[in-house]
Amino acid sequence: MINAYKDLYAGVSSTLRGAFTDDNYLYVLTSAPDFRKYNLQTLEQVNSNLTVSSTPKGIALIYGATGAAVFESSAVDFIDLNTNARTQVTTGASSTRSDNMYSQHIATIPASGFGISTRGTNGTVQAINGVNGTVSSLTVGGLTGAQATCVTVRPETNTFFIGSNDGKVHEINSSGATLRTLTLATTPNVGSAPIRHVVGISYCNPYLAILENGGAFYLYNYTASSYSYTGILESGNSSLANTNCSVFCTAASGTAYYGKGNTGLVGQSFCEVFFNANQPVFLPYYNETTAAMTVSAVSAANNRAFMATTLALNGVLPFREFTGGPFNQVQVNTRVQDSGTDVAARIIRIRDSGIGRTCVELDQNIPSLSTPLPATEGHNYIEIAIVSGPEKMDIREFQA
Amino acid sequence: MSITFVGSISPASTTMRDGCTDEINNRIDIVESSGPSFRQFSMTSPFTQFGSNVTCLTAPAAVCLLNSASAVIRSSSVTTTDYIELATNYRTNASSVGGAIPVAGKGQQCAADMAQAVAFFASSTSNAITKVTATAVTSNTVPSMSNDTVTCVILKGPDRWLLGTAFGAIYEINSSVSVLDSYHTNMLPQIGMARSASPAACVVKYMSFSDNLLTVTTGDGSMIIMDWSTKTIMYQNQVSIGQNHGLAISHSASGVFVAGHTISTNDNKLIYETDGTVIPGQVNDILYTDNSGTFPALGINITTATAWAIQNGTEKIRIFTLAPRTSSTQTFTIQSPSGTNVLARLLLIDDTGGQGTDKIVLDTIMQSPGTYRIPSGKSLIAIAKYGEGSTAKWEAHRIST
Repeated sequence: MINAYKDLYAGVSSTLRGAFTDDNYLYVLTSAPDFRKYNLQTLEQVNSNLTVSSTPKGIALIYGATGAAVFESSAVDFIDLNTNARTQVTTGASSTRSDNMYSQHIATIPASGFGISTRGTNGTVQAINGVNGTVSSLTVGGLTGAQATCVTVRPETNTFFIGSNDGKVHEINSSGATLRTLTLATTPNVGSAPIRHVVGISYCNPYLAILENGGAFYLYNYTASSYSYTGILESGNSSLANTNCSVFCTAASGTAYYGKGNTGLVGQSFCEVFFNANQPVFLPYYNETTAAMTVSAVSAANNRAFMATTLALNGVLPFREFTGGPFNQVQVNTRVQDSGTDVAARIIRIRDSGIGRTCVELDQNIPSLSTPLPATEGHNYIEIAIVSGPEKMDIREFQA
Repeated sequence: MSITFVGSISPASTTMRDGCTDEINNRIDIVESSGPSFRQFSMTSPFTQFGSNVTCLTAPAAVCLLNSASAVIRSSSVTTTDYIELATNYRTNASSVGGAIPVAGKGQQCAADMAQAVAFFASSTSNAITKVTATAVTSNTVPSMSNDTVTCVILKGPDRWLLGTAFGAIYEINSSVSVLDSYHTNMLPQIGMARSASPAACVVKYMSFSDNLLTVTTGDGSMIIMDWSTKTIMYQNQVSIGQNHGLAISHSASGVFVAGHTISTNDNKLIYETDGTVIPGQVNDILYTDNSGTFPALGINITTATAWAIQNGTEKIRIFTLAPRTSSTQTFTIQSPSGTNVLARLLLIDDTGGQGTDKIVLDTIMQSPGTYRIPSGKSLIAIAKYGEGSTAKWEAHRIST
């Protein structure tokens, strides 16, 4: 849950174009274009503005203490986060997909130093090697005739999910091989198949949360290969020249954030969604800003979330930092006794974020002894124990 | 799949403003600014128009059936009232009374209790609504309202209407315009400075009611689902940006309503079959359109489970069927001590698929006895909590439906 916030002004003429964090700092790209480093706790800038390539679109930690920034120009900048030095690479580089959304254009696996970004050319993404500082085009078999719109990492397999502007989500490996493709439905329809764009993806094993341009939110169980929930979001603009759709971010323990991509007439919410369950829990936080949201990022280690708006208007703030979470997974023991004797039982653990904001986070059997089960730190739970033959139930509440 | 697309009606209209369902004749009746006209179309393919276009009052903005024999129309620019005899398309016009309809191009600005032939229309006159019967049109002040305007009217049940207002209030009234219940929407939690002083965020745009649960959509694009009996918020999310009228929704058919965005963006619009009672807010199915046109009004013929959606821009009426609803209502009673009904938190968990498939289908504060819609053919775990703090008690048992 969000319980505090701070606002960061990038400057009157600058808006935020990308962000990521480590344990101590927030790193951002601005439209100036420059790169800035802020103390995560105080939001004081701790570097000198570092000029980067033109039209920034995204930044991520690529390897060691090096960040990789991508652009709507044919360049990739490698930035030493400690020394504030930049190495621009143009050989083999190309521009990202052209749109007004500044989230999920780049995703990286820092342990291996490999990342990919969207690319403004059909059928390809951009491969970024942070170890040797090279960049190349990567052909993706399943992306024929379409462009990648967003990208995120599948951590347990070190693969990537890419969304596309033909309504698909591809799982690809670092060689560009398509391992699996999920195609969003286009039926029933009114006679002709609609154009569908995937505009945001967030993943927490086994759930894949998908935002699309027409206004649908999908929760897909990637292991069971089935949709578990469909909801409603904004309907956006996804023409190449003017893409404004909801922006999403990588999940931290099943919690991610999204914001509206179009300008509203009244305040827009910044929505937290927990989706590591059969059904999501939405927690909208209403801002005074009416500007479109263009960047979102979450820092699991620091319980921080970020959302940037397009511009400062009437005191509206370009970048707002939220203290969210906590996201940490902890173990909470449970045991079931019948007439003083430990018994095996089925445990249903309901995450209780308030009335109407509940979901079954865990449902598993335990043996007849005290057993640690996962929960999310600081969150409230209702736990049901079910003993079979004849069926008996008991309930407790706790805070993890 | 729940939705089956039947076809599109192309009325060759410039701008359709509102529509209503003629359940008995299985027709969709619309009013349009071109003409201006009132028109009746069959909801069965080939969607034949009944009779000819009926020239009606200027700028028609709200239409509903007053009873099984006649429709009534009011305008966003004049304050007269049209009566249309459905069987003959014969029109009569009553003299000016009350305020004009506040908005042109938004549904749910009127609703009738056909059994007693009483309709209420939203009014641009502060604190007032316009009451239309077969014999009279009157402007009525809504008690408790102050410097506010009615923006949305739906029928809640026999002799009960719900009024939504520009300041986010909701009033339950009867045909005598007595206020029986009320609520004020809030966009909480808020972060940062207070939002604009404009009340546009909270303005009630559309509502849908079924089995204790009320769905409200607002000017900032939020959709709120609440237990009307206890005013418990069960779902709240901003499902649209705050432009035009946010998300348009229809009245409910056994807890299901249809919805579509009213925001002009260039993407193909979707029509949602949405659940307002079982897993409130969940979309059951989507009808994908091939046009970016917006939806000012949607409706359902409850008798035939056939729905309609007026899509502006393309100026078509989309006709589609919904799967029969497999649900029923059940009354829950929680007493402590025995014989004394209490307020309780009620959670219903769908455990039909067994371990790993559970979903929360209802989570509310109920006033015992409380009646809610539950899915059929399911194995539910019902748990209830009553009392406070250390003396609170939990109960659980399984229900087969």
